[in-house]
Amino acid sequence: MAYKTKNVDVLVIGSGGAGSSAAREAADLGASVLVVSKDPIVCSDSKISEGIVTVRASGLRADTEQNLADNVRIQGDDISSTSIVKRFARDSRSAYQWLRTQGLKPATHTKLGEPQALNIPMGGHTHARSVDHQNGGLDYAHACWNALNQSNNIEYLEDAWLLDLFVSSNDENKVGGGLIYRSTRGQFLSVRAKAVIIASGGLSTLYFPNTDTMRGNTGDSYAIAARAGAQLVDMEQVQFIPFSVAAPPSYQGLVVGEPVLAGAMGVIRDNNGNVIQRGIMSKTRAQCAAVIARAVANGQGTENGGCYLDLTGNTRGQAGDAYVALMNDKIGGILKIVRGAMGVDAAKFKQPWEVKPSAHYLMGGVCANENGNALDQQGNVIAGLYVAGQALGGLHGSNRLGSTSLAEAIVFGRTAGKHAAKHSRSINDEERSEFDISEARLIDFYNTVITDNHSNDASQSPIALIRKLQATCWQGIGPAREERAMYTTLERVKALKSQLQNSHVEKGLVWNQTFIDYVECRNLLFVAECISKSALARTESIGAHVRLDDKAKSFTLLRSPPFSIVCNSDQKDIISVDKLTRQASPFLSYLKLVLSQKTKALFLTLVSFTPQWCRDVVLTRIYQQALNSQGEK
Amino acid sequence: MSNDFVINIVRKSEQGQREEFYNFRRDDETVRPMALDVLLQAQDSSMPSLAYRYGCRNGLCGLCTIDVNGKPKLACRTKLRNGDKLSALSSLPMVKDLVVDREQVNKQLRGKLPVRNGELNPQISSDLASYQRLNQCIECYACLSDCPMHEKNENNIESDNQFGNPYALLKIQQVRLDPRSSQQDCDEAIDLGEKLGMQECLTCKGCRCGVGIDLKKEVIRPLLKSMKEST
Repeated sequence: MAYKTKNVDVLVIGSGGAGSSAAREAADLGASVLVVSKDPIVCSDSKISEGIVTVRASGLRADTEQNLADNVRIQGDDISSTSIVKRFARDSRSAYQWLRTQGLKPATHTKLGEPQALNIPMGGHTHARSVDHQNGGLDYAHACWNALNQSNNIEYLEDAWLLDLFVSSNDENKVGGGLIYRSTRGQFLSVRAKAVIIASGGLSTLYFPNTDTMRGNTGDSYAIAARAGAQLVDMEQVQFIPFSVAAPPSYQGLVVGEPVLAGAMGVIRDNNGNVIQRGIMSKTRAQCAAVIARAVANGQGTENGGCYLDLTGNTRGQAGDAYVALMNDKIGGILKIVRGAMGVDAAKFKQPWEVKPSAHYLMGGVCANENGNALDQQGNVIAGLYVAGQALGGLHGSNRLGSTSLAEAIVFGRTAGKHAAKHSRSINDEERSEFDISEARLIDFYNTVITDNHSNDASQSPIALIRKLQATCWQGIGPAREERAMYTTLERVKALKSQLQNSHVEKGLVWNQTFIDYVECRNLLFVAECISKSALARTESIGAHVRLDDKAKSFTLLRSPPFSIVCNSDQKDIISVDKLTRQASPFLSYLKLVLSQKTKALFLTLVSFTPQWCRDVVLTRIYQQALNSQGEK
Repeated sequence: MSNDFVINIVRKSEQGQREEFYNFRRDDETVRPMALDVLLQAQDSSMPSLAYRYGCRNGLCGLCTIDVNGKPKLACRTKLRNGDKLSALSSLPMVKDLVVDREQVNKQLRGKLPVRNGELNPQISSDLASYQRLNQCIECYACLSDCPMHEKNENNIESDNQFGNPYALLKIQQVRLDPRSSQQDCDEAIDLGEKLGMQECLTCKGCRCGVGIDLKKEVIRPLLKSMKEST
């Protein structure tokens, strides 16, 4: 098979927030950088996000690194890595500063030019530290575009799929480039790189159409890194956003709300109209998703597998106007989706919204240290391999706080870029024949897929297998899980794996959709197995999914030591899991956070039972304060 | 048959093009499907090798632009009627079926836009408001259709684009609107616009943005004005 070759210092996979900041950082340090992106550059989850970024002490409010680190760790049930969380807390401000040098402008700022956070603590934060932008993720994406396009050391290829990494044939864990499928040119491209940064995380397409993320989220980062010897962590921790569109199909999965935006009177109702959750504002995304998932599993769900988010109570009385004004100002984009999917009255809060959870983010990922070095099964650094953004595991634990991902992308993108550039300088240009065997093996493997996979059975097309897998995963390893169903999922994954080997892949190299689907299906199957096995190893409900067969109490002061589940793949792609003990947060910090959450819940309960006039006074003030984050300009 | 909902999908390859008529199965006959719904179902049922792009299904990522009855539209947010025709965006080089090559559009600007290094503190100004409005661009490339400047390019996957397009001019105008740009940055931006052939805009009726940015008012007119002033 004909293929082209290329040599660079640093190869970056992905071009969202993490990929573009990693590339730019490495390029600014003098490295030659090649970015490969299977979608056109910057057309990533960063771009389609709400565009709200965690910036510690934004507006110079009192907010220490310790505050932020404690917040992240405790909300994530202490199963995150202390060193990674610490790095995140340390660098969120400098990450935002970097974005501003690339052209990002905060929606509001103080007189001194400090970015001003929204006045409400977002999804699980103890402090108001989430900075928003006029056009949401588009503003962020244009900044990333500038980062990629304003350096002469960066080259990029769009429509370029990383297939697998080259590993050393010597007796050491080392990565030296990768094989790329360049679909628009109908070529395989072998890239020899001194360092590789994987910044193409995400696997939510495993749950399509119950997802609000990009089509390309097919778990590539995790499967490819694991096949090159990296350990994966917290793979069962898929974040499901509770309030997403249940129907019609054109809108299914798109997010229509956050707990913090549910207002004091917002409730969740089951199919019969019974209230199954009050005080939504004091709940995390995970808690709300669990309520809906449980109701659906108990047969109280709607035909489309959802429940109702009823915000109509917020519009009553004088506070109603303030609430509607706040929502129109802050979530105009969301209301547009509601209008399209559920009609005008729904968008005016006159009707409850039919909602169900949707897959949004993988909180786990590739095991790494705080510098972004990928780690192997023994916890040793894999030389030349770095991860950043959603691909990196260990930051969020079991619950990602709102707006942290866009900060995380830059914090760890820049970190990985810096260390990869440094590493590339330490490597001589001499013949790197230790990667030849791996390269030849991969070219042979993918060549065989194109020449030999020609089943004539149309039902065996890779896309048909992907659809089967997606339905299986939503049922078995979606927001509601139980042991028996997960064993069934594993059986089905195994069957689909062998069907994929005999599926129909067309010949030809120019944008071969069946080949693309084959490659992505293989990665999806890999992560489906990791999620299933990790989720089976964790018998209690923690994280954004609920174990229907969980016997443990949800709140207890006697905490067992926290642990993560890690996954490893052997030479024959057999995945095994293990436990990794984590450090528990100090008891007092834990108590403080739990109490503040309980106080908030109590406050909301009290408000909902006070007379209307009193409620109006309190709530109008709260909503107006939230609306006027501009007030301190 | 009144129940039929047939969409003409134009499939292209190096060997040429052929039209395939796909009968879309509607679960609810009162709802008009989006073009993307049709493409997804077609691939899942009878066309497993159908090549097309999409990303967010929410009108934000800009990937799914195709021609619907010859006009550039976002597949994820365009409702179809019985008999509509879907084909690849005609303004960019064809790769396969509904996929075109987009790479040159960005690469044309790589390393060419002035890097702004001014004060970070944002100053409130009418320029800043316009800068932010231009950030609404989702890079769908709908504006490339019928652009006389872009039409001068060879529309060939092998050759680099010599001439610009409204998207490139938007990026150029953004440099000029950024309070962090120096006078020199602004001048360089105008020079780049001229190099890309924006003189064509003088005799053009105006361009159409896929997401409703007023390109003529916010981009073209201010650029042409500065171009005249600088000559």
